Amino acid sequence: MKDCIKIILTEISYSLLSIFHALILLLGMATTTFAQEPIDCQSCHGDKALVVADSAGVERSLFVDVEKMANSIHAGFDCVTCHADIKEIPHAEPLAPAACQTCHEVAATELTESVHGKASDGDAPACGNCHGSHEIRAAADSLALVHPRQLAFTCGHCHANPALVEKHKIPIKDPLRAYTHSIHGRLALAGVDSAATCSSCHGSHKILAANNAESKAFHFNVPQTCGQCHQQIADEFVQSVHGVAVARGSTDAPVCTDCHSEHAIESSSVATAPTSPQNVATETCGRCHASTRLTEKYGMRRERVSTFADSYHGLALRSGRLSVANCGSCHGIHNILPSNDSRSMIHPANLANTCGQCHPNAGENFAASPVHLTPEEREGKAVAIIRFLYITLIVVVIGGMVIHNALDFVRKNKHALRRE
Amino acid sequence: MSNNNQQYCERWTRVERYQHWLLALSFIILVITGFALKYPEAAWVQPLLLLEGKLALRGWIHRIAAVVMVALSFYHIGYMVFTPRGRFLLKAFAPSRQDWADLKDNFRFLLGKRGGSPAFDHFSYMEKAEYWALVWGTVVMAITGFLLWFENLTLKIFPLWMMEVFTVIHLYEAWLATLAIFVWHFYFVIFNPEVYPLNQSMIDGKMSEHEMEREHGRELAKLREKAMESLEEPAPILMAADETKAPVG
Repeated sequence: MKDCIKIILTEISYSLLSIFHALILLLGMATTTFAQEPIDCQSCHGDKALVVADSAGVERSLFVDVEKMANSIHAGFDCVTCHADIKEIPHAEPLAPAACQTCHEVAATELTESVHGKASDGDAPACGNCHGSHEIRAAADSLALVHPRQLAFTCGHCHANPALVEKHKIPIKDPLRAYTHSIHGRLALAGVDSAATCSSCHGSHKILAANNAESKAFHFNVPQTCGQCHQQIADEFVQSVHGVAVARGSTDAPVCTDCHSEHAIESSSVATAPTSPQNVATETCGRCHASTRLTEKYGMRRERVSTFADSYHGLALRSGRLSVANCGSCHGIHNILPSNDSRSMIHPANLANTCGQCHPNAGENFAASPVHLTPEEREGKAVAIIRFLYITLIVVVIGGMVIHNALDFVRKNKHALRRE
Repeated sequence: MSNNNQQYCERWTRVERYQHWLLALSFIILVITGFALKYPEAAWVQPLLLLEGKLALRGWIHRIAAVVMVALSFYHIGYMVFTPRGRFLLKAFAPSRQDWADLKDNFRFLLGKRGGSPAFDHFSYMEKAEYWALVWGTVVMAITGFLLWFENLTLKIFPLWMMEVFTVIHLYEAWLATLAIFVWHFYFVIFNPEVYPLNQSMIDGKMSEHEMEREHGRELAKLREKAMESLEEPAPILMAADETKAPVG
């Protein structure tokens, strides 16, 4: 807030200064003693062909489009407002970078603390790489390079550049592509300015590495980061069994991104989303709850996913019927709680309601029976006995039939077989 | 109705043949759509599941075929109990001590003893086994099937673990029935060297004298005796389908 006021005040003061400048110029033009304006940058920088080559021979344009400048938020600023080291024409080469920090002190400080600021090579972005230089527009202007609709492409300039990603060994290869296909990306590009964009989750000037405990992308900060927009869900999550484990510092317990992924977050109505009905049991919940290592570590039952897959619900889902119960239908999604918690959807007292979502009026019969039973757990139960009896019957009866008919076949072909 | 001097008996009436083929059709549909639920990733199942997201086709076809089979079963019960022909068949299907003797004799024959196979009556022990297995299977599958179909009602009456029981019975009885049809029934009407490629009796309803000789010798003897008793030519002539009617000249 303080820096906002500071920026506004400095901008007001500089606007006033520009007006003062303009008045002086007007006054000067009225007299004949003025042969030309004190500093006419456009006499060189208005030339579209003006370029400079660096040590590698790569040319950079020095053309400054005053029309673009006039449309920018810095319209009316004198060139020397930012390029304060120019004292005379021709000026020294090369010029020092524009000192944005003169007005934008907080942002500049944050940048130096960030992973971008600490990088020592020339690839790291400075103010101009993200905001532009002469054509910086107001943040609310949809043409601004840091506007929600543009930001992903601005960041993607480096982060989706295979050569740079390779060079700096950035783990995520093409977040731009993932993001533009994601629900956040599609919403942002469609004009929903409140949709999450790069800065929503990573910050803007103070982007920190994900293993920095202050980073918005830090594992244990993720619920809070997503909670900026998804507040209700974050509140539910924090009370859930997963949320409690996360708060305790467990790195195995999932945070938002473990189930939803990050750049490629998709609505669960999309077939390829990890949280779609088709995928939730195997891809999302199953990653931990069907893992030998994790179920062993946390004393969880191992066959949760396989028993679900073999149940009627699981079979119907595998057939393609997406309306049947999946993990979330019974256990909840963000409000998952253990069955001995009275708030849990699978607490015996709540089962009639939970199952009643699809099986209305089914009553109390649900409460008494366990589900997700493994074959071992069924031993001695009616189901196991019936299965045993039937398998015996099938082996004896069908086996007997096979023997009978094989003999019949041989007997009837005896004359033919002997001839051969 | 003779062909090349071959005489024929009417083994199955038209109504019975229609019953059989409707049964066969509904059975095959039930088996395919039923196992499609149990093995949803199998290649042969995929065409059936193409529209599953929007329209639960597999499930509806299965239930419709089930209703057809149950309706047919009730019709069949009526036919067997309330028509003279039906009662004849029912009596012919009744298991007897003779069947056990036939089984033992037939096994001896199959294991190499000379002579022929025993002379069977209207229905051999093989056919009786087939029929009663079918009755048993239909009853079990229909009951468990309806309990599973109307799960909300079932769950109101029975505890949840009973749903698992009904499911397991439905699955294993399906296996038993399907295997019995493939191994037992299909052998006797298709792969049996004596009738291969297909026993025609369920298509044209006829059985030749030669076939009768071979497969239902005891019945043929009884019919000839009856013909003799009526002092008519002891040649096998076109007979009415059931022995309660006099032989037709």
